Amino acid sequence: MAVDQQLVTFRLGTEEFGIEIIKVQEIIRIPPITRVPQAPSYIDGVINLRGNVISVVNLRRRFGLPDDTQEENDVNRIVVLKENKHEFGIRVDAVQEVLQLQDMDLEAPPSVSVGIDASFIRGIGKVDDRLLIFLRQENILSTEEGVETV
Amino acid sequence: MSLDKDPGNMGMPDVEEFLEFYLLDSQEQIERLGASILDLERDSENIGLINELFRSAHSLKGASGTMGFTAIVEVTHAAEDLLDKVRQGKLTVTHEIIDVLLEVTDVVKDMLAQVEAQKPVRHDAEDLVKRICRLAKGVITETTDIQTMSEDPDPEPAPRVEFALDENAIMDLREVTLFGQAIYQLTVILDEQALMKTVRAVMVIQRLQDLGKVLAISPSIENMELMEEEEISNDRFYLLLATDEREEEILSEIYMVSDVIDIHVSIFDSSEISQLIGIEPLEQPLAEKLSTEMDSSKETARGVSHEASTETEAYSKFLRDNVQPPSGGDGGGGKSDQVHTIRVDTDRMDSLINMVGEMVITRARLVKIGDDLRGKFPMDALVNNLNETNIYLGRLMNDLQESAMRLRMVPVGTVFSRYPRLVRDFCRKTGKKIDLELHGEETEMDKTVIEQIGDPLTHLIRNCVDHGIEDPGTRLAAGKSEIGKIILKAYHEGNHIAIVISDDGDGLDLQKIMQKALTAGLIGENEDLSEREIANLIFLPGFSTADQITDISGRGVGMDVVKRALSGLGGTVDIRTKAGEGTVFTIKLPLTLAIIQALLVGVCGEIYAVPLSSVQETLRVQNEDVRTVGGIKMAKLRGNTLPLLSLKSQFGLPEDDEKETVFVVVVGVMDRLIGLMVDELKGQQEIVLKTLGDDLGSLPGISGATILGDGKVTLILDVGTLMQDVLTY
Repeated sequence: MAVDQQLVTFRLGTEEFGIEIIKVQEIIRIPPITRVPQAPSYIDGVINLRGNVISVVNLRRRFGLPDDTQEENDVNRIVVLKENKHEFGIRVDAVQEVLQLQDMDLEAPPSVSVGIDASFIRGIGKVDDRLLIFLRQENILSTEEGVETV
Repeated sequence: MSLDKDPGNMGMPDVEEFLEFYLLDSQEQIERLGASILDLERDSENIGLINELFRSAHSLKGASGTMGFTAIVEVTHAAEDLLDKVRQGKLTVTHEIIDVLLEVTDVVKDMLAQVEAQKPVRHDAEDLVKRICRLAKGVITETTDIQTMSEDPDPEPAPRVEFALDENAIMDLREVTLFGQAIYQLTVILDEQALMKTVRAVMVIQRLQDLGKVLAISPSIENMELMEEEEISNDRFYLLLATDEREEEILSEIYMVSDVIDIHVSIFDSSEISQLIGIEPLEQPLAEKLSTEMDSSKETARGVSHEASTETEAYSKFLRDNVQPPSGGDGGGGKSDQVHTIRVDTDRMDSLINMVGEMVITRARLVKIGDDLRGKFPMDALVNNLNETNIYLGRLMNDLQESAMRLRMVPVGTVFSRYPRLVRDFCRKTGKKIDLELHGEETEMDKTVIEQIGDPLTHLIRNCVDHGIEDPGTRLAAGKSEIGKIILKAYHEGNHIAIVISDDGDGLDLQKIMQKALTAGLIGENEDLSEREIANLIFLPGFSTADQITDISGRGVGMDVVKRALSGLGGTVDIRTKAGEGTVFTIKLPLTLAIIQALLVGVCGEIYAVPLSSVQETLRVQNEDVRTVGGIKMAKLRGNTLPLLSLKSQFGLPEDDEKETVFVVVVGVMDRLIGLMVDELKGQQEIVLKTLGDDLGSLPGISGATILGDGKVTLILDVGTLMQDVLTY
């Protein structure tokens, strides 16, 4: 693992998540989202990102977390990720900070469920007294069976 | 036979770059060759054409040799030999020769495809090469007074001459060998009585400079002067000339110099070249040397790999210095209709077009802001100024967009060119006589359309030759010319391109079509159809009138495939036929796929775009006129029932049956129409097509997206799949 690997951390409800910074293209305010009929339920819709149409994933639905904790305010953001030359956005409640990976204790995903499918989790990190879920972003848009749709 | 170097092994990036040039150029060359061969069949006496063919084969061979694809070299060499015989009048053009030459183009095309696929070139062409040689041996009269410049097995051996080559000459020699230029050894014999023989020699060299490169002369000019001074009798001198010109050109040029009484021309022995420059031009090709690095079985390889890098440099220098790729060395006498072109990666082009599309959208936003400002400050000069500038910008944008779109335009002739061959082969196989006329080959269409139009067109033309045109006997009996005629033509028509395929054959058997359609249950017993409607039945799925399956029009696949392919491109096809007089297929295709006209519709506050090409009309229907039959809503449209599809239920939106009237957008083709129920019509607009991204895959009813003036994404309806949903009930 590279020495100076960094994470962007964000919040969904009370949970804190981290994602590799090199996969993050940009972080934008929520633009108008166009609903796509008959799309998978975890896709909120599509947005216009400087002329490209990209999908926005609702992480709560994707991770099977309760919908009712959804916050609607002006710290909501879309984090645009790039995986395999393919861009997509994830909707988050708020973006927190940038962390050095070596600053935290990374542990393998727990065998006991934390309420999120283990295939989305790379590890659990400990920063000070907080727990942070380090995401495996390449699986966010792949299908249930773990087969890449990209 | 030979197993060539696997191009995938070529480690050096430079070589890959050459490979790309080589492939592009050779593929063009082979296409041109194919077309010229067909021309030659019609015009077998045309010496210019034969020369052109010879040159094409020659440069193809040279380039392939340089890259190390010996399998291609073998085949093209044989073809070149054969053409040379024809060129010299030793052979006359027969159908057999044409057949074999066409086969060569097929084989080479296959080989090039293998090269492109990074597979080793494995092609069993030995049999073909043998057949060509046999044909080439069938020479009418063996003439020996002029030495041939081809690599005949039995040319009169050229006198072995020692050329003193300086370093520059060796470099030159190496370069021309690499580019596959022919090197001739010329023996110029002067009148023994002539004075100032050295001056004659210089004059000869000067003249030859226009044709190619004089690599060496023996004896040297200095020595000749010396000999003249000392009055040593010498009536001849020898030259090495690298050129793409024909032997006749060389001869006539030299004969312009007075006192020249005889000239012998022969191909310079390649083994000598290898001795002189340290490489073997064909047997030990560049590509192989570059990749073999140190082949343990070849002790010479160590010395050679250094050479190779200088060659690579020379080669890239050549590429830099010449706009035309290397084997296009048929320059001078080449075609006059060559256009100045550059090759650009399609990705780069597409990103440019994308950006232009963005600018169009952004300008629409500017216009909206301008309008809003005008509403706020009606008399403000600054606002007026902004709006005027917007209008000017709009004009510029239109031009820019058009220019960008033109970059993707390719003449339709690139597709048309394959059909003469198709028709010819068919005629040879069946004994039918058919003349294929092409018109409007220069008509330009979007590259994507061009790429996908080939198969449907092939299908239609096969249908014409197979079912349309009758055999000569039947034609004569019907009082028609023995030779059938198929016309393939393309032209602009408004915002569309029309492609028309017409034949003067027997026309469609409408009676039979009706029968078929009835048995297949495609039409009802008492339906009253016009001739045109009956003819168009053949485009329905599950329809095929061919009683016999031939390998010409294929088996099973019907005209519905053609129709589907064309609809996929946003096009339509129509058919008209007259018994005994022929059939006309008219295809209409959009100019471009990137921008389309669309009708925007509103459903529960959401906006969708319907491609205008599939919209027939819009209606306003009273809710009470909508009936439900077997679970499907129906409305009356001029006496016919029109199945309706509610976009709300389709897209999971709340239904409200309270409305008194609904808007219905009638979409579809001919007698297969459905109505889309929407809340409002928002008008017509040009939209730029965008893909929805792979993660959404193919969603039923949605074909893509676009971005409207306000920056919001709007989905484009896929009328085809929506119709299937309704009509399969």
